[in-house]
Amino acid sequence: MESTAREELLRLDKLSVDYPVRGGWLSAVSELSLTLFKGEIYALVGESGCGKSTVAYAVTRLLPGSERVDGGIYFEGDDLTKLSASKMEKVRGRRIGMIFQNPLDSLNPVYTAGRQISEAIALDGVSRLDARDRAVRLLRDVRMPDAEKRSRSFPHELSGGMRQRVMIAMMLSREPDLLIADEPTTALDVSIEAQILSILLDQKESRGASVLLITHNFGVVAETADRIGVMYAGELVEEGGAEDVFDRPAHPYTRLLMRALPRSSKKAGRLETIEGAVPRFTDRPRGCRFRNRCPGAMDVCAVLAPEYKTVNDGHRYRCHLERTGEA
Amino acid sequence: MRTYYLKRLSMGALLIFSVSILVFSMMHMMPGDPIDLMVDRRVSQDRRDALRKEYGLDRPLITQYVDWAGKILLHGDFGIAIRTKQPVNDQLSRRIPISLKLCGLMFLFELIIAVPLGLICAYKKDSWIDRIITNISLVMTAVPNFWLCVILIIIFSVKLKWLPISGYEQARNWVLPVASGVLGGVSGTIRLTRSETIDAMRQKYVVTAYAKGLPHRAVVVGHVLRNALILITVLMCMSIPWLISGAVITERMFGIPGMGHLLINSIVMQDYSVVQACVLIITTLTVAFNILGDILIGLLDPRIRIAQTEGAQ
Repeated sequence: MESTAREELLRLDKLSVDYPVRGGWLSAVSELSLTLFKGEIYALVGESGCGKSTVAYAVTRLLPGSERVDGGIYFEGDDLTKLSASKMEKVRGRRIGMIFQNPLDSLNPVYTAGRQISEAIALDGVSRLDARDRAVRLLRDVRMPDAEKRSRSFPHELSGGMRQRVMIAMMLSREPDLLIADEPTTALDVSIEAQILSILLDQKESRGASVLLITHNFGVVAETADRIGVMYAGELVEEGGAEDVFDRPAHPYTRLLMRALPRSSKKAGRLETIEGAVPRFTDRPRGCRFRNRCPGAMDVCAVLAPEYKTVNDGHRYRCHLERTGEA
Repeated sequence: MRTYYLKRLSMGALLIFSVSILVFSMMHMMPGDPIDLMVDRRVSQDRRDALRKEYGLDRPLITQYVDWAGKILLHGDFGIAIRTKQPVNDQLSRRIPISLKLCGLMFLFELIIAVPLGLICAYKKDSWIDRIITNISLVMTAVPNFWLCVILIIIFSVKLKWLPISGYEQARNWVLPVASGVLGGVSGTIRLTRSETIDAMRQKYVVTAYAKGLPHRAVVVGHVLRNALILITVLMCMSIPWLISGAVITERMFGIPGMGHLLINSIVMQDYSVVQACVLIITTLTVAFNILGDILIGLLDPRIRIAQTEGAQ
């Protein structure tokens, strides 16, 4: 209901990304359509290798260059797939900020933290000196301890959490409307994770920024997301409001994921797991991509790709099974 | 930091000291009496003893060494050449500028040819131009320098008669010697530049730089090259001693009267005080450029700077 009233910021229209591999193309993302509205946090969830990071890199056009991209990426009226390289440069950082997973590799080892942040600020015509001051202020905003001194530190002199703060400060510095956070808290401990997430929440609340949060961690999702998209083998298998997906998962894959979550309320015991790994497809297969791991797989799943079924407004899933409410 | 460099400098000094002892004693252990080299066989034993005394060769080796090393350290005086009976310094001062010119030209051309070619290869990786350049440079690595000199002389001097075989007075004299040195030296630098640049391009911080909105050129210059050039600069610096020792052969092949030429002549003629001087100078240069390389890498790469500081504690 609320989604219809909201203004659209980013819309992926049947986005497909294939990587060249020996003897063909690996289908990393397949006909993925989703819409991100202004001022919301959308969590894209899935296992390693399901293509969720590829979505992030495709939106910012930072893929290696050998890939094949089909479909449209509409951002504030522009189709990003059709923008010239120089126009795309003006989108990155200014309109779409991207927070990367590993903040040690992702920061340049030869420049100080402050320099790397002010380098981005200076792109908007701010003088070097003002940019430096703003970099320190930004570091303070992301709760960097001893921000003044840390702005003069090199990345290897900072802890993992501090580096991620530098990365976030860098990507917030030009106040982009959309922040894409690719596993922003992986490899950080839980208390820092919570702080990082609260910074993202704050961006949403203080200035109405949208966040595309890419993660495999449902704990992260539960605390922050307004809506959730569940990805499996390059496809969006379920999408809906955070509570809907959490409390009433419709797709068998989502249900299995929920059951695999460690819950403190349940009695101790073995964690449930989903057998097998995400399969890789070198061609676009007929049928459902989840069928080899699906507990409810039927004959039809092998020959026909399922269509989306709607549970309620904004909550849809892609499966031949009717939702029974029973997990 | 300072402790690190002090440590590094004293290690270098120690190395030069050890080499000086080695060079000194080696020349004295070689068969043949220096007096035999100076005078005819028919000269009387008394005259020989007098000469021996005059040159201080009758004293214990240690005294001779201390005397020799002391003069070098205090006055930069390498003594008198046994054969030519001229001060070694006179010979060196005439020849060192020629060698410096040769090595300087080789280094300069190597730099302005190899680094851009390496960058082209990196940016056009796997294209036909990259394949051509890397394959040619691979072949050039395998070619021995003296052979290359001969081939160049045969083609350009003997057959085509475009360039002189030897000499050093005119600019055209320098073309072939410099070309032979550069052709031999560039291949390593091309491949180093190529691999370092490709490596830097693959780093995640380059993606970050694009992600924050930097234009392509700023990413290439400020992030890719800035990191790729660390190792290129340092290894180029450390390659200078190789260049100098390579020039020994080049000078010989093209009859350029530089220090290398002098060194080879002196070895053949057993003019040991000259050999000692040349070897000591080359050693000192090697040590100096290695230390310079260490200082450079510390300046260019903050990670190394930290490691150096911690290593010295």
